[in-house]
Amino acid sequence: MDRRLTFDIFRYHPFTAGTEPRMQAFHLRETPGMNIYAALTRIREEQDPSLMFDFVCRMALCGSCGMLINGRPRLACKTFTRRLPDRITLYPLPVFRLVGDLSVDTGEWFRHVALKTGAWLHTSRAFEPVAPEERMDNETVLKVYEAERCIECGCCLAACAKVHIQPGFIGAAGVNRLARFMLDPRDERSAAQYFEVLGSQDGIFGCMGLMGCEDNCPKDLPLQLQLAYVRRTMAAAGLGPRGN
Amino acid sequence: MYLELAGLVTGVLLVAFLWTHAFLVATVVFGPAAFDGMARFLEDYYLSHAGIGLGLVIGLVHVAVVARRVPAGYRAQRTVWRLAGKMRHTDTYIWALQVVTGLVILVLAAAHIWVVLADWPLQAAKSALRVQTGYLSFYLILLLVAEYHAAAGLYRLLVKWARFRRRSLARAIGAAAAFILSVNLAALWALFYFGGVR
Repeated sequence: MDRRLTFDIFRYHPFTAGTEPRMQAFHLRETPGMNIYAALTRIREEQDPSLMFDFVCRMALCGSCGMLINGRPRLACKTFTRRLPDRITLYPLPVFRLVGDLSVDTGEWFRHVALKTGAWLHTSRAFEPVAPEERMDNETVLKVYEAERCIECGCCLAACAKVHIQPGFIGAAGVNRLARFMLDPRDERSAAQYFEVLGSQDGIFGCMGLMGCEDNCPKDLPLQLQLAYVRRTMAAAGLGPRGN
Repeated sequence: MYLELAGLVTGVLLVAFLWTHAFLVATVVFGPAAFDGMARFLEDYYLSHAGIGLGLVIGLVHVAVVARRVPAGYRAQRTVWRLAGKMRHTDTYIWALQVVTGLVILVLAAAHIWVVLADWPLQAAKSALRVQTGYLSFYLILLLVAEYHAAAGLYRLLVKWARFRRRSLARAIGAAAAFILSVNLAALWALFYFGGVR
């Protein structure tokens, strides 16, 4: 404790004319229980009000504050300074469009992938608001929830070599999101229909199994097993009889 | 998908080839006669012709279907190495080394196959002569590189398809690779010390 921390922070406002990307150093005294989010807030309030970074919930639920902390994709609110060296480097997440400084637009990426893959519940049945809810057995619910825990912070994508070199690849977040609907008995899509969006180099077969996603997931999602489940299902669908 | 499956199947077959090869070569531990007997047996039933021929074809198919995974452009190469360096992420390093060892194998295995075929038939004395006349380091390098590539490939394949977590997979494959490596080293040691002596 009582360390003097140095934060090297990436500064760039792409929408302001005449600015160049640069690194700027800030100094702070470490306080008990300090996380990167708290440190950034103090820097903005006490030293530079123009510093841009994203946050909403402060407790690893919203997925807004993903950034590269000493080179690794992490949530600023879940990363404590006591586990880091005296010098901390902060970059915005790669892959996504830069808004300014540490702030990126993850929503654009996720919306694009969701539209491309049809990542919502596909059902022909009309919603009846007064009817009792359909029951689902506990095991299925737990599986769906496990995939549903993803907060779409984008850390898995920033940690994936394939996402970096193949912009069309939907990454672990995209595959996991579709796995959620594959597991859901209310979704009426057949395996062959899922194969249309997942059975390609931009889908599950683009994955090289480097596991940067799982090792950097702030929510500790079981992405290895999730990807393997989708891969097996899609290989079976691809080898099986064609047609819907 | 077919490329993915082809990479998987050829990879598994090559690992099977490599590990069978290890045990066959290791017969030399029981003396040159055992090795020569094994070689003659394989030859008599055309098993070595079939094995080497199939191995070559499968190896070339494997190269053709997995090479697409290697980042082709300079930009992509730079991106991957930078990412790996920044994140200091073990599995990404393992993969990068898998790619490098694959390229090394392509060159060294070609030389190895050429030399063996040019000096047909297989005999312990000839193998021993090769190992004893300064090519020990060549075989040590080829052995380490091939075993690493096989283990890393098998690990990656199981990570991608299996229902188990990675830790247990890594331990199991590490143990298997260490065992095969020691079998191979024993064979090399035997060739180096008494392979040529009858």
